[in-house]
Amino acid sequence: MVNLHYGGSFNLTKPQREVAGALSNLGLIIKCIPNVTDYELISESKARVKFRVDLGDEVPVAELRRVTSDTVIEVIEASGNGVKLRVSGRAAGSSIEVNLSIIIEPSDGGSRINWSADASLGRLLQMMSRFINIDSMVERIANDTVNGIVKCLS
Amino acid sequence: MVVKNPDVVVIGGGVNGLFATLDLSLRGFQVMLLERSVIGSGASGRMHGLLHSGARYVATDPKAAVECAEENRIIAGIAPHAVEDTGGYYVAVDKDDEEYVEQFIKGLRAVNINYREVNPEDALREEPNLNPEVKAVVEVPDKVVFAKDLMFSVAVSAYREGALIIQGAEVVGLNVSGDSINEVVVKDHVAGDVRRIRPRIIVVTAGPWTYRVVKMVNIDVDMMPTMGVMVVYNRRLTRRVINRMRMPSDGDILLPYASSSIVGTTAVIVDDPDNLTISDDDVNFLASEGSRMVPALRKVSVVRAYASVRPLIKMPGVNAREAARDFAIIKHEKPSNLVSVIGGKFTTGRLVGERLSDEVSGLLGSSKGSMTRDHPLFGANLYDDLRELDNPLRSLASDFKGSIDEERGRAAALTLLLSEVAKNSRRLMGWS
Repeated sequence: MVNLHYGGSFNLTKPQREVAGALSNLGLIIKCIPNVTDYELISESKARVKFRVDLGDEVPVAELRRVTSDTVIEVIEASGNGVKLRVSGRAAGSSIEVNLSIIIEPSDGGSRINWSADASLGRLLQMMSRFINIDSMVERIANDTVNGIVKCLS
Repeated sequence: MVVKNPDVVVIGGGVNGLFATLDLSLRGFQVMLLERSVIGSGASGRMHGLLHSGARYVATDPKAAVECAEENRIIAGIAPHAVEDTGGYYVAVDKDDEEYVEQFIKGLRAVNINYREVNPEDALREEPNLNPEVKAVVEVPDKVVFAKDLMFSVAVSAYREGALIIQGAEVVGLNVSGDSINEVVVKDHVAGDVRRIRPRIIVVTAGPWTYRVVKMVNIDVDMMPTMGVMVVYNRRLTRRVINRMRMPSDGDILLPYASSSIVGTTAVIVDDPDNLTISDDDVNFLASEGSRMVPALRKVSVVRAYASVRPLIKMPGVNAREAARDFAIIKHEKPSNLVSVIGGKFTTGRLVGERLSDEVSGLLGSSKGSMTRDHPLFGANLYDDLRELDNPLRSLASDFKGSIDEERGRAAALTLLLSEVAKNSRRLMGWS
């Protein structure tokens, strides 16, 4: 498995409690993820989500530039100041797992969100790194997802 | 005539290799095509059936879009018997699709592809099985190509121009002397012998298996095979090809293929192009995506699924930009008489053949140009011209004409012809 680590922070105008509540509400958060094609809530803390991942136009096969991933998203831990999510499933025939940790702090009447993500890519997806810069690709996907959530919660 | 040492050996009997063989033969070269199994047994014979109008690539690869648009017209012109001019609809079925409409139409205009915006109500009258919630429809000149019919016609046409088409001939060695290949070693799977050929130029058109061939001359190729799955349904649900109006992705094409429908395709990374497994998830995914465009798909039966392999290849001499393009022709520095192709779509197979032949012609000191764009392929008047067949086979093939199975019999008649061509080619080589 290839392990990649990313992190960042951003501000939201909504207060800490409201943001924490929203981030642990799967039914709401799924709608904020870009390119979701289908989802099913299995329980309050678990959902099956299919979304299209944009691997980028540098991928030499058109059909592999945008692939549909089939994942389970689970809220592992939720409190007033943080949420931990696990995303596991398959994309392009290969396994993926992303563990996302989000800390929410009060900031000027709004919230400051600090996030970190550990992504593990299966062997087959790892092969992609011979053809494209997989590190920047995953980082772009992470940023797109964060931007989607920011837009949704702003 | 026994031809031991042709000008050119083409390795791989898919659409690229066949058109290269025909093109070079029309330029007057003596060409031998070697196919380890049978013509069209690799990726070309397992394509999705779409003769691209180019519309699919207008946003991501305008050059490929232009090439597809031109080849779409050429193939329909030289092989009308292997093409059904169905036309195609691009359909927007959700908000994300709708957001792509403007970019799509701008792209179509930029590369000069004929299109027509269709009122959704009119589209539903034309295609009653379309999703009734369809929000926008654009018509483009997509067509359906009958892959084996086309490939067999190219093979027979090349043979008529003097090429030899050898099936069951696997290249197992390329012997180098100095800086060029002086001998091609072939395992003859029919006779069980090892054969040796001494061509002047070697062309590799082995698709996902190219890496194995060029490795014989120590050219390292980094390859990642990706599998595309297609699902066949038991009923033809549309008159036209139906495409999802969005950037190219997985599960966005539904084709009418004779009396069936085909939905494609996935993109799954695999280990070995000879070892493909189609999962229920692949089939279910395609059913789900296909039914977004044509809900009636849920009510018809899946007949079967099949898969082809597209290779991602990194090879010395090809930069990242070229590798991201549809196809690249590589004239290797060493061995100096080796030319390979990577990538390519079925739609652009003739163009690949032309470009390969330009390269080979240059190496052989010829200035003759390609003639394949105006060369009608054998098969358009199939039942009037079955002279290559021996009497009993000719009677068998000709009897399809006028029978209940005349249209369906074309593939059978072409198969008989190809079989005869392959047998005669072996005889001319002294291999039978």
